[in-house]
Amino acid sequence: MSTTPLPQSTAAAAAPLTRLIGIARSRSSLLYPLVALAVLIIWFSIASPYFFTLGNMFNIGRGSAVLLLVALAGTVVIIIGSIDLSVAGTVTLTGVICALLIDRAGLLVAVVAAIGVGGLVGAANGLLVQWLRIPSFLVTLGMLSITIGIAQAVNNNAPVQFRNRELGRIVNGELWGIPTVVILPLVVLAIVTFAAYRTRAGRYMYAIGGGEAVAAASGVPAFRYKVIAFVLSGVLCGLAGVVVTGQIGAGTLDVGGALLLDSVAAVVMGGTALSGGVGGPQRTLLGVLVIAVLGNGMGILGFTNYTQSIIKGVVIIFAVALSIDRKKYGIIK
Amino acid sequence: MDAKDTPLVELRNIHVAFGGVHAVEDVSLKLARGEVLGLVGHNGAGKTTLIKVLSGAVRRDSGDILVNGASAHINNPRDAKHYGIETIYQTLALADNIDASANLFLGRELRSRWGTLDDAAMEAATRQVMGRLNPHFRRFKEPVKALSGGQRQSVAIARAVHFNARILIMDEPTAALGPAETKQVADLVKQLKREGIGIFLISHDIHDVFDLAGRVAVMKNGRLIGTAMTSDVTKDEVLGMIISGALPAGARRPEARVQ
Repeated sequence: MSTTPLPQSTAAAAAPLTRLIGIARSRSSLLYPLVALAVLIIWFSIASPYFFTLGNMFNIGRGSAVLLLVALAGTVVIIIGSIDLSVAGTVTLTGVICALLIDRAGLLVAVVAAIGVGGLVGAANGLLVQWLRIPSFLVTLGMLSITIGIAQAVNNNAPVQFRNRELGRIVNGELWGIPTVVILPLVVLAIVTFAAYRTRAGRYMYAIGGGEAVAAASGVPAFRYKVIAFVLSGVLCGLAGVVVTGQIGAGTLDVGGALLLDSVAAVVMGGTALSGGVGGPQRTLLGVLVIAVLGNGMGILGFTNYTQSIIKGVVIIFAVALSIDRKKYGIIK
Repeated sequence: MDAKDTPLVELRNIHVAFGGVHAVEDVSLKLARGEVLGLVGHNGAGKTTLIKVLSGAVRRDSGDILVNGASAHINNPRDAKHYGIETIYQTLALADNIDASANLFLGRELRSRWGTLDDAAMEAATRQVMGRLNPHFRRFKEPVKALSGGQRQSVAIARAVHFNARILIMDEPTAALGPAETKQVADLVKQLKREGIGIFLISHDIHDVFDLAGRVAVMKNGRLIGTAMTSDVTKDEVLGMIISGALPAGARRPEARVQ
């Protein structure tokens, strides 16, 4: 404990809030985003008859497909105790590459190239973190700048247009009456969740996130699996880039500045702690739903963009307050 | 040389430097089957670094490691385990955020036909080995963070035992334990010794060392001062070796440099 005594009144005033947060955190942390989600859904359903309809549910799904893919990418890297801040840049770059290649080389080549470039960006992130021993948030922040720069350079800072209609038909189409962009991220979610719990790679990533030195001493090839986590993040961002390009119908240079914050917030809100080693991909779905429902509902109710931004920020701060384990941090920076 | 006389492990002229600092300087040591060798010295004397060379956690700058008389190539923890060298670290023993069986098999997971983790088989094996070592242990499903010091130590030892360690390195195995748990670990060490396992025991506690080890090796400032059978020297004489480097009558000087 601190040796500097707090003024009595401040300490007393802070106690109930701290205790409340402590209780909320000690419960299974799945409960919290579920409650938040339920509250939001009830609130918006009462406030607007349009909110709770199948059509609007699909809207929420379409609007959060990219966020879910990117948040899953973030989850993998956060589980190993690192962070990938380059996601928005990787999505932009891979989206532009997909748009650039689609008319010249065909849809399949464009998609494979986008995902491949995503993987390469991830590999570069992972190798730089490991070789240069630089914290991942700095390496990936640099990579954010690099990937955005390359994406802008490719077509002289203009969006990349293309004629191909196939991609748009698939991305904006339906399968068994359900939008493809709702199905795709859910399939990816299922695969990533399976990998996290049922494969050796998943087990190793949790062990690395819990304590890299311990994992390495136990014979876990930490270097390799950390790089694999970053590659996976890049691959998922590449997939997200393809979806963005299909949804917009062009290779855009503006995938939305909120993507990074929203994805990290979704991961942490779901209960995957930034300290690494705990949580899971399936939890991230909940965090994404909270953010998506919040954005959709506030939009329907006609909140202005800046009000939405403020409310979202408040929700995120409280969500993080509930989810992080302060015992792990001696000093709060 | 008769196979029986071949040391289980031999370290020859091990050197390790961190930057310009010599952490371990020209240390040679032998360990026989069923022997418990206590490695003692001040903090920073080089004991942990020396032992990490053997366990593959630290790379040596020069020197050789022989296992059963044959040169062993140990460059990482995986290599060491391949030679039957298992380590129980003071601080690096267990991954806190995963459960006992995940820890037991960490780095050596059992997998199903499909390549997925076979958690059922791993848990069954964990229950079996824990039943032998610590029959009261029940908390198989919790992250080991939730376990007591003794329970954690028994999980760490279970891991070594399950994988048929021939050479066991224990770094301060009883430092965090109460008296009853310390005795449990001591009994375990004796049992392992009877099974012919060679044990390096690193400890600050000279009483622990005299209880468990047949021989002590004293290090000071990265060098080996000497070795002694615990029956030939007193605790005070060993303390003298640790503090001043003085060699009592019952102790042996390190062997001359092996060429």
